[in-house]
Amino acid sequence: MLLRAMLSHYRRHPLQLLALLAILTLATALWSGVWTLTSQARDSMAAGDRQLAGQQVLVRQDGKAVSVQDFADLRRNGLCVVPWLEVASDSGGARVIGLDPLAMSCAEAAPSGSGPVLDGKPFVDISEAARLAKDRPSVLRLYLATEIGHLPEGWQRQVDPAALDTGELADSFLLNLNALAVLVVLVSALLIRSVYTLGLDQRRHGLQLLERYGVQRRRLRRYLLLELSILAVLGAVPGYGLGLLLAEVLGSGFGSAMANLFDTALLATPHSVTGFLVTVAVMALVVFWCGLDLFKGGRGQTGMVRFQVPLALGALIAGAVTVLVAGSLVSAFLATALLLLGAGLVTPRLLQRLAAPHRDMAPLRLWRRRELGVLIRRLALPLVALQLAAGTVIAVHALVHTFEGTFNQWLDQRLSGDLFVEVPDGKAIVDVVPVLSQRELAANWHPVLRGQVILAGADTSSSLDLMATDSRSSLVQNWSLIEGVNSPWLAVGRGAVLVNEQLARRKGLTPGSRLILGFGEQTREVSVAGIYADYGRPAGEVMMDVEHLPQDFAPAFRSLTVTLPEGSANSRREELLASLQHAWQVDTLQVRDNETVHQLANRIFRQTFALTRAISYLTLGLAAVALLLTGWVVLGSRQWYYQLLVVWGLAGKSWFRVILTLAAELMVSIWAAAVPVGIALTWVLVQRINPLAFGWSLPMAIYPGFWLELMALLALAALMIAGAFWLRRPATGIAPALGNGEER
Amino acid sequence: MKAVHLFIGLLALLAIAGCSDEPSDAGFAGLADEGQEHGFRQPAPGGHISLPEDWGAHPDYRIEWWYLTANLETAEGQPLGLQWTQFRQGLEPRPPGAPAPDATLWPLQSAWMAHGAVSFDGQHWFDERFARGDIGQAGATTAPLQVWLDHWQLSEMAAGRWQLSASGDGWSYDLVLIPGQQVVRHGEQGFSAKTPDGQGSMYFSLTDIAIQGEVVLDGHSYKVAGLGWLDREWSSQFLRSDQRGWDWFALRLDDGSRLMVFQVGDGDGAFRSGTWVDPQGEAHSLGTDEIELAALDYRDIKPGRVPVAWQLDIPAMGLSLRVSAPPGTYWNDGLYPYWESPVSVSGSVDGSGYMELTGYGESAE
Repeated sequence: MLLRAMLSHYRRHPLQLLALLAILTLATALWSGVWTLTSQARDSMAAGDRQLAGQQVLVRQDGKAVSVQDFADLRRNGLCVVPWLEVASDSGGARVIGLDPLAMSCAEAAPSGSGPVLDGKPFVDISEAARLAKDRPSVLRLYLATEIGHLPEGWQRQVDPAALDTGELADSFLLNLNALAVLVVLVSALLIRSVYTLGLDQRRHGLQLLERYGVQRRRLRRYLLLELSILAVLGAVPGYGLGLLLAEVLGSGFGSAMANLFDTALLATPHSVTGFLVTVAVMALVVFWCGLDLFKGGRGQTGMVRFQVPLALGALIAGAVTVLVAGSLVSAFLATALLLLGAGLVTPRLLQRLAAPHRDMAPLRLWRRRELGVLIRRLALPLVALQLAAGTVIAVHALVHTFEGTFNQWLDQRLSGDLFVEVPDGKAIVDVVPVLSQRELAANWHPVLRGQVILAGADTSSSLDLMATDSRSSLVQNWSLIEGVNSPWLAVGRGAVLVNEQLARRKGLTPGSRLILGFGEQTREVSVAGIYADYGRPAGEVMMDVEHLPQDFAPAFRSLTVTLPEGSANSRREELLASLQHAWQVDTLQVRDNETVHQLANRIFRQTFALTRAISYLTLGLAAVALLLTGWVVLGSRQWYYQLLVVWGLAGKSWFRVILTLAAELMVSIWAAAVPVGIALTWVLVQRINPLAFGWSLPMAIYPGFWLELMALLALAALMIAGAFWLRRPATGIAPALGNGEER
Repeated sequence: MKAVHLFIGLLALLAIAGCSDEPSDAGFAGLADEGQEHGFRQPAPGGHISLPEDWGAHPDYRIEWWYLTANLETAEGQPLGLQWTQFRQGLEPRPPGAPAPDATLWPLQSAWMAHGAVSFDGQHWFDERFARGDIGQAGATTAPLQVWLDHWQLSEMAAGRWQLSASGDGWSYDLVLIPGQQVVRHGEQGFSAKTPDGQGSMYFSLTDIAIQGEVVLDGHSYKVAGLGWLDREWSSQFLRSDQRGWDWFALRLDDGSRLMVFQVGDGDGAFRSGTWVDPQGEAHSLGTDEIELAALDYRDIKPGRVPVAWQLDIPAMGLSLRVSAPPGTYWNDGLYPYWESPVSVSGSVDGSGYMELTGYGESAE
């Protein structure tokens, strides 16, 4: 009976129940989705690290892919090499790894005769992986499991690409996403709490009535808590399922982004219960928070607390100072959290101050201002939630757009050339110089050699990517450098090197710094002539002039970048390729054109930020829905007041205008509060968090056009609220009656 | 038959690896029950051994091995025992003449295991290696003879001249083997029964392989020479589930005779079999009733209690022998551990040889 009486509230307000469930479901879906993805990525990296700790990859000196025969030959040579067959999943996301447990038994760490436990994904027997590899992309690697003095002829060691300094970067990337997920949790917790406490407020009379009928307050609270818990479970369970679905949908792009950015495969790790437990724990915390209100007297406190302004100012100052000096991603995130907290605390008070009416205002305007002040106080929580969500969307939008712009510009510089022709194995570039010297075939060209070089350090040596090209080529000279000495290309022509931003940041290099590079047996000290941007890769790279490479340097990859003569027809391209084939005496050539490479690169970077963008927009959507809902409830509870306007003689249209203006003012207030948060967050993202997470920074840019779009969206919300009121407008001249849950 | 148990180790490994059917029962014995050998060819009385083909692998049979033990002496006259064994375990039968699976698919039709051990001056060195078949990492060919797993290999250098090399942690050997001509076919023309109801394996041995070469132990190099015993055996049957452990002896007696004896199980229910090769080189099969075998002395070692001295009597041949292991622990502590030691023989005639004991130690419980 009591239960029925309590639940009658939702019978009368089914929309509220639905909305509460929807917010619970969507919020759970968002954070459990992100959590699943990032924990899958972390598990993948950890699994890879465990299997390959301290091991090196053996590669053929001739650069060819390794084969089963190579594996058998190396084993018969007495080397403990173990195969690792990585196969992409059919959807391109999570991968499986084929291992040979029999072969792994020679590894020193393994107890005699024991192999790894291959209990399904991601590690499967290599024969199963080989079967999958028949129609999916795969790569076979041979890891050297024990240390040996010398290698058989034709083989060389390569530091495992996965063991580069990328682990930390990939981890930071995931931390980035997790921080976003925490923000989602925070925003949705604010929303859930505000929707719930508003509902509770509406039920105040009903609950008081039950108390008067003799129901003990404690019992009532217990029932309310039970009701809240049941609601949480009802919302969270489908939400968790949705989250898993979201993770699966986004998994493919996320997997590609991980692979492209950090050379880290997203592995098909077995599903863990941790994600579910975290979801349950977060949900329990939110329920606990809402429950606190119950035990504080049954009335939700959506207003403000004492010392709010000093607290806000303290958080803002502490956050600003920390973000400036933050040396790690965690401290940068903590600082950001402090800034957001400060903004969230100060915003309602600030808006109220701004909305304060002047005595000389026209009566209607005065009324509106007072009412706006009331609404800001009553809607403080959802308002802050929407402010933070909108601020995040502004920042993420700016980050992605800045990145796209910068990246495209950078790509145009790096890919200045029409064709990229791979030099066939065993063929010399010098053989095709006569062909490329013919002006009617090639307007300009330069070679690009890639390989590995050792950076000798005080404590440890590390392997770096090396790129060598012709520094006199006009195709490279238009690169804009982040920093450089005077005439950097001349310096490179004289033996200096350029380093990428990642390496410069990692090793604290500036133009003029000196490096010791090891090429096989010999070492060379070089000076840094400049730093260039190198987006989307974790590896450090040095770039030098081809002329200064040691004679015996064995590049892993050689290609030619060729610019075709202006306006040359497709036939000229074919003629050039035929001449190159003839000069090299080969039947086929690996050729890629500028457009294909551009498309590929753009695709990779779209994937990189797809997830970030999706999460931020979903959060905004969630916040907007919540605000619409709470706005509807709060304005609804104030309907008595608004009806008085009609009684005072305000005509229907004028009444609608007043309500619309009120709703619009509320939305504009939120927008105005979100923009500075967005700008600050943009700066933190591009200048502080991005270098820590990715290894490179971006220029700061703002996009007012997008702010206007966002404002239009909020204006639409205002229109919807006002429109709903118009439909419920009172008949002219009838005195308002106080409805259920309304206040005077 | 002596090494059948080692394959169970392999199976266990593959089960750990999750890439084979799980053993139907814990331990090695459960693998032997009927119905487990489906698809593989069964050895039977009337089968015969043809050489050199049978030096090669038999993919239509489930299990097989090449098993060398050697009693050598250093230049200073110190005894040195040595073992090299290579096993193949078929996981899927392949009819004779059928093409091998595509190596690029990392097939798992068979798994290989190799054991290498050296016993010297009371110390024992042991290592083992594993490989999947059909990818080139391990295999056996007949012309020329080559049996290899990784860099451990037995290979024919020239007609009647083999080379054997293997190495592990702290030990290595590089030996030249002169196999000789005499081939001993055990049981009924090579079909050696392992149970009273007629299950068994194809089994032949070279009992007098002249060996010389170099053994390196913990950095010390020793020139060695002596005689080796090579067993070649294939089957598709494991032990029956009511049989547990076995004891195997290969003895070279000073009167020129040779004796191979094994027993499966223990006590009154033990199944015993053997071959006595008289000084003239003629082989005589021995049945359960003709062999008396009893443990005389035990040694408590870390893994358990092992019988290290035995009374072995073959009354029909007038043999009464005491077979004893030298002091030390000759425990091959691999995936499936067992005892493998050189032995000395005294009694009606002196001699030397090798002894393998399985089913002892904790893992047999």
